[in-house]
Amino acid sequence: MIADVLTVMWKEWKELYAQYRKADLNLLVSVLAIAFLGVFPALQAGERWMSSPMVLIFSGWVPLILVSGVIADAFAGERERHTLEPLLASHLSDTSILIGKIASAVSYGWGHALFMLLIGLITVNVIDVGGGFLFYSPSILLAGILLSLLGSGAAACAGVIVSLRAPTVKYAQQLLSSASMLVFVLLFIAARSAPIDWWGISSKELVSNLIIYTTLILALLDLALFLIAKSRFRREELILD
Amino acid sequence: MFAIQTSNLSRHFGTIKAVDHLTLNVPRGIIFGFLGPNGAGKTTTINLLLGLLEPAEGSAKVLGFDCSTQSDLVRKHTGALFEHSGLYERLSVKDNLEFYARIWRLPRGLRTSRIHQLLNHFALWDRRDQIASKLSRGMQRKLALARAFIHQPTLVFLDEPTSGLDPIAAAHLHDDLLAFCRTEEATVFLTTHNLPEAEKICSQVAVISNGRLLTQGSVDELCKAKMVHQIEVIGSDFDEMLLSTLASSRGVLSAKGDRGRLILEVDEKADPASLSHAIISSGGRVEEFRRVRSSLEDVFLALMEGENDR
Repeated sequence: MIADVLTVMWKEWKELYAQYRKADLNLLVSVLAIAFLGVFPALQAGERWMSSPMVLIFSGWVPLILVSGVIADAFAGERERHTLEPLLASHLSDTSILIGKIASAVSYGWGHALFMLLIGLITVNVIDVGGGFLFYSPSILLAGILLSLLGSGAAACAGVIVSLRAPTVKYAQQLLSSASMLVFVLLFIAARSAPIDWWGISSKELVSNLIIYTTLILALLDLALFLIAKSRFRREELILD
Repeated sequence: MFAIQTSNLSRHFGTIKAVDHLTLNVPRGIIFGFLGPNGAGKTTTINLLLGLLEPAEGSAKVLGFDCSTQSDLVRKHTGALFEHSGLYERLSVKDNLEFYARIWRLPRGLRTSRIHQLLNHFALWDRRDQIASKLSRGMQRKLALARAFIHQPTLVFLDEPTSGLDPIAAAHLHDDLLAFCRTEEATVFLTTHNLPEAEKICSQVAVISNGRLLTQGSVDELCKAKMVHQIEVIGSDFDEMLLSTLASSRGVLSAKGDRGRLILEVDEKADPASLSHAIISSGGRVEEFRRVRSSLEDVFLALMEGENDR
């Protein structure tokens, strides 16, 4: 099955690359957005960026936005371009197709989130030239890597659920981008209403608890969404749609 | 052994019977034409045979595998080209084949040589790095056909392979298909409503309408069984009096035509020599006098007329 998943990922990446190559502007927007999200908050927070849980909010939200942009195409796009029929008529299993689609979107979102962490690291070190080399605290780095992976996973699974039944790519994109914005607004409201100074938070215990609970919630969400996506993947319904 | 066997295969969509108790046997190693008008149930039948749809009733076996319980094995040993080419238009010609070669787990060396062989056969090698959307419709169809054959399947389903192609592109595709099937020794299940196409390339055909099988057999058998005995006369100076003379001649069932062309429907008692003599004696000039062989189109139209009368 791994070989089949890699095959689907190979095709997805090829298509994504071809799409970017065709529209250089897309690539530029993507790089600028990541640079902005990596540079701007790090500039604002300075060396506190290296240990602030705010890093985790950005790590979770950035892949959500990026993944929802590409995953909308996963099935709705294949249906629109009539490439779904030959794919379903191949001997690839339902699980390989599903995991391949999800994994390629996850790798896209996660890769960008890691790139954003790197940009933040460079920014903080550039503005703090005299203060020696600064690096993320181990717990923040680990949580940043893990949460961006789980955030990408949740966005990809949710995106697949929408894309499987969406009549058009545009419809799926609109639904997913609205959902991403809603998640961002809810996160923002929750963060503002909590009696915590997010930039200056110093309690290691609080940070650890935040990381552990967020990771657990996201992991469970990923699993639940994947199982829903798997249960909605029915060759017959996809053909009849 | 048959490549495809169905028994009372049925599938309904609400009150519409898309496939209605279809019993069909398709021998191995032939190009089998599955004919019918639009909406007759051809594509639904293919989807049922590929295990992409569940039958409401009956059963089907493809290459000995049950289409409901062993659909993954059916798909593993078959290839399919649907009504739409379904190419990844942002990918190159080569990458479109590479993807499906990887799906069927062709080893790297074999993958390369197979892609080379197919692109050469379908005259697409020089365009291997071009993106698929830049190909003409005929070339896209050829690429989709190459994709269906990439893993050397034992059986290939082709749903309206020449749909939307101009006559020249369609003729090229026929030739390619025939040549390729001979080399690959594959069974081809081809749906079409292009009857001259079916007559040219299929050794056996079945006709379906409203989901029901109307007839099945070789093209020759069907044409003989549904033979419409006609004599066509080309010439000049044919008039009404001549038509009534011919209509009352022995063995002539009807006589129609204009001043330059006559069509006589006749039975076995008709004597062509005396008919031609009658035309000449009545002042008609004969340039051409021939028996008309029923085409598959005549058979098809006769079947459809019968179906409409039901």
